Amino acid sequence: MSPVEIGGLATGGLLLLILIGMPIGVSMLAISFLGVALIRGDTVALRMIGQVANDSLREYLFAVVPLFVLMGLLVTASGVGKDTFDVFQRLLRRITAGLGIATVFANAVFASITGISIASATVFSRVAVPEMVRHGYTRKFATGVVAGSSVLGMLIPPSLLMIVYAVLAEESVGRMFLAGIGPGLLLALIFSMAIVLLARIRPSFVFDVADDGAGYEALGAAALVRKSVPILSLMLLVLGGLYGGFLNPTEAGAAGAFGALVIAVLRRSLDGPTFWRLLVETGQITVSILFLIMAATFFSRMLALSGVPRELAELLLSGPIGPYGFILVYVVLILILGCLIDSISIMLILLPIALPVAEAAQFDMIWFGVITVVAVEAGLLTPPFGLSVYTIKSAMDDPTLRVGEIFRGAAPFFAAMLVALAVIVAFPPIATWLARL
Amino acid sequence: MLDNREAPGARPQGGHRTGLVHRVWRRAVDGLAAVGTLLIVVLMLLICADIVARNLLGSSLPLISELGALTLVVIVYLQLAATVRADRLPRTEILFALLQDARPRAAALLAACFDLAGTVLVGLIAWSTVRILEKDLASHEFIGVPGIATLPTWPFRALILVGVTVAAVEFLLRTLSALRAAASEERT
Repeated sequence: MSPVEIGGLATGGLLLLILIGMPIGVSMLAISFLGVALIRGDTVALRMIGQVANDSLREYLFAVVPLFVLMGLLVTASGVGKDTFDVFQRLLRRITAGLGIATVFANAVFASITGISIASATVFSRVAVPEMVRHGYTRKFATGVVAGSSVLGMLIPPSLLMIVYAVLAEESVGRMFLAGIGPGLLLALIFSMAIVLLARIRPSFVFDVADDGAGYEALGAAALVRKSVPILSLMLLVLGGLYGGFLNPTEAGAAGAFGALVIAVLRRSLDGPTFWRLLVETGQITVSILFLIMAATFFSRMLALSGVPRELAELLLSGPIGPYGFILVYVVLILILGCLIDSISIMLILLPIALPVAEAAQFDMIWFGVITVVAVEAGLLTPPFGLSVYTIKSAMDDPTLRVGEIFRGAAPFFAAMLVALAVIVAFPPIATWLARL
Repeated sequence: MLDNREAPGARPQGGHRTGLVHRVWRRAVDGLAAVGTLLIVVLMLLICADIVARNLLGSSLPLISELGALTLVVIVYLQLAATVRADRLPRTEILFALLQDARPRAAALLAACFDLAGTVLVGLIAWSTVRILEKDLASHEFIGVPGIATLPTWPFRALILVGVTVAAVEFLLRTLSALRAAASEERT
């Protein structure tokens, strides 16, 4: 067998193993070990697996993973999310389906202090859904809005997915973060338009009760300011520190986690056992992500040895498919995988193959990253495996709430994401303008 | 997301002797994970101290970036076994869940194969880490700048080796308990 054939078979084998349920990291290690052993012999494979396991994670930048995860979990526990929602609820209460739009924008702002979508989904399913249901919105719509807008968490900086992309594509994390802002705002806007449109055209989808009789909590200007202070100070700390040149991404993570800890302690929302539980959770999320990154590094080295990405680039770019055809195939592939696999795993499986092709096509790699992240995030909303939807289901803890109901509620937002994706493909400056400034 | 439910891999064990060994092993795995968990806080505080030193006192603390990177690797491997036991390694469960409903015994056998693969691969990582540790010891590998501050890398390497080895054994125990589950499915 030629190396290219081995690489091709390995890629197919990997997808098969993942599909039948082998842990994704273990599958990657197994396939890559076998691949390298066949191409270069088992001594090389053994040396490589040890090297990858010891050295591929030895990057100061990766310390950002536990720190941003911890920060996300801490703000989830500290009630900052509820305050953000209260503020937007107050500001938008005169607009049609204002609570839906308030959820979207509260998510957009909350996203700027958390880098994980599950944090957004957890917080807002507890804060926004009960409030929307109380005001006569359908539960399907209320949970759908939360699922849809939770994807903003990983698009608007800081963002774990952007960090993973930046690492794999060797782009600057700071630039990738900036590249997420435009598309994040665009998505929030398209979501809001979709909500207004739904409320006009299919009111039964949005409202149970036509006339909203429930009152709003009175919120004076002073309370409004008081509720905005914690989140604004965290934003200032993390994003201000990052772009003011005081902090590198890792430090922004540490400062953010520490700031979130201080806020949680000041608000008396954190006791010892809760803090320990959050730390343990942080550890497990960190291990599951970084173990995957380690395995994916091995996979991409194996692929590079096999020459598959080079051959694939030639085949795709010189043939009738062309660069834009490649983007289309790539996005469709991501969407299909998104039905089955979680976001970070999709990126780690596909990027080692797709990045060399994108480079050969001379794409703007920042733009390509944004497209990747948006497409991958759409997978958070698609059945049967949509992580945001399951997060909402487990956070709501309501046995009568069916997963299918949330998926149906999230469907319009999935469609809105596809629209946003098309707009970003057509107008790259939305993603790249700020980042290349 | 923050559930402390019993890991699906931890199936009931028979007999008192295995019970004791099992308990001690659990403690060991939990203990390593707890060290890893504490290191996350240490990492956060180290980096914050570095920020303060650089922005207020005008000079970075020595070693921080290299130490942070090594600490992170240690954090990951110390908690690997606990993560494996809690079944938190990402995987697709759709087809597997269908198989579990239709053919529980086949599913248990398949799970045993997965865990065996984990045992072998993480075992291979442990095996080749031994060589890396020996090399670090032999060549007095260190991080930092000589004359200012240095740290030998071997203690970190040793912790990585311990974590990886324990994770490999955890995978092995899961393999055995999956096989036991497959056998008991056959009897019922």
